[in-house]
Amino acid sequence: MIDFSQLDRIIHEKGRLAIMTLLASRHEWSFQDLKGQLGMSDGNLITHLRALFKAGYVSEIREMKQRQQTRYALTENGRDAFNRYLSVLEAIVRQARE
Amino acid sequence: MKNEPNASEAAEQLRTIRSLMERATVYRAISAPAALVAGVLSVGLSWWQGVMGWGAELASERFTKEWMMVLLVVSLLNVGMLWRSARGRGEPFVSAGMKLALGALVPPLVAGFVLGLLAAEAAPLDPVQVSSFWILFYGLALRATGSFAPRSIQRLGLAFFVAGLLSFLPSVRQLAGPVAAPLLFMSLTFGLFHLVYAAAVFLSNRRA
Repeated sequence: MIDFSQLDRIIHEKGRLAIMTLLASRHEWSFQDLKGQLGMSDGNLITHLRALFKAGYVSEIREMKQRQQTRYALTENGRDAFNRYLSVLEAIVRQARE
Repeated sequence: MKNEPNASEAAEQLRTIRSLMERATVYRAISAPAALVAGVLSVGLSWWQGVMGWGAELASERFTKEWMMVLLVVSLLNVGMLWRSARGRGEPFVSAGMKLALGALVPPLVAGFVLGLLAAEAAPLDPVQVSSFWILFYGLALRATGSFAPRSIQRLGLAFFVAGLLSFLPSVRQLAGPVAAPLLFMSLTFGLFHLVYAAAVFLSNRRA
C-alpha cells in the first residue's frame, strides 16, 4: 500500500513540478530560460521559485553582467525530494498494473 | 489525504516530466562561431573561384577539392567549439546529445557526400550538380536533428532543404548562369545562410 504522505505537496503542484523537472535535467537555468521554456508569466514563475527556495529545494545565484541575472539550480535536498516524488508516482503506476 | 493521484494521473505526471526533460536536453550540433567562419570562408571561396580563375576547364574536381578543404577546417573548428562548450557546462564531450546528433546527421551527410562525388565524376566540367546534392543533403541532415535541435538549426535546415530543391530546377540554374550557378548556390547557402544563423544565435545569446 502506498503511503501518500510521502508525496511532496510542494512539488506536486503542476508549475513547480515543471520547474523542478527542468532544474533536474540541467545543472543551472537562468530565469529567462526557465520562463522561455515553461511559458509562465514573470509573477507566476517568481512565486513558484520562491516557494521552492523557501522549502530548500532550489538555490539562487545572482550575478551582475550587463544587467543582473539570476540563475537557479537544485539543491541536494531538492534533488532528493524530486527523486522521492518520482518514486512515489512510479509506485502508484506499478501498483495499478499489478 | 486529499487530492491523491490515481494511476492514470500519476502516469500522466510521469509523461509530462519525461517530455519536459527531453525538451530540456536540446543539443546544438553547430556552434555559432563555426557557422560564422563557415559563412565567411564559403563567401570567400565562391568569390575566389569566381573571380580568380574560375572557368569551365577548372571544373568539378577542383571545385570539390577546394570545398572539401573548407569542410575540413570548419569541421575541426566546430569540434573544438563543441568540446569547449561541453567543458564549460561540465558535461562530457561525447554526451548523450552528441550521440543522438551524430546518429541523425551522419546518414544524410554521407549520402550527400557520396552522391556529390558521383555527380562530379559524371559531369567533370559541370559542378552544379555537386553543389545541389551537398546543399540538399546538408539540409536533410539538419532537419533530421529536429526533435532535439534548437529552433535556429531547424530553420537553417529548412532553408538549406528548400534551396537545395530549388537548385535542381533547370530554370533556377539558367537564371544563375551555367558557370556562376554552383558558386552562387554555395555562397548563398553555405555562405549567407550560415552567417544569418550565426548572427541569430549571437543576438539571442545576448538577449538572454
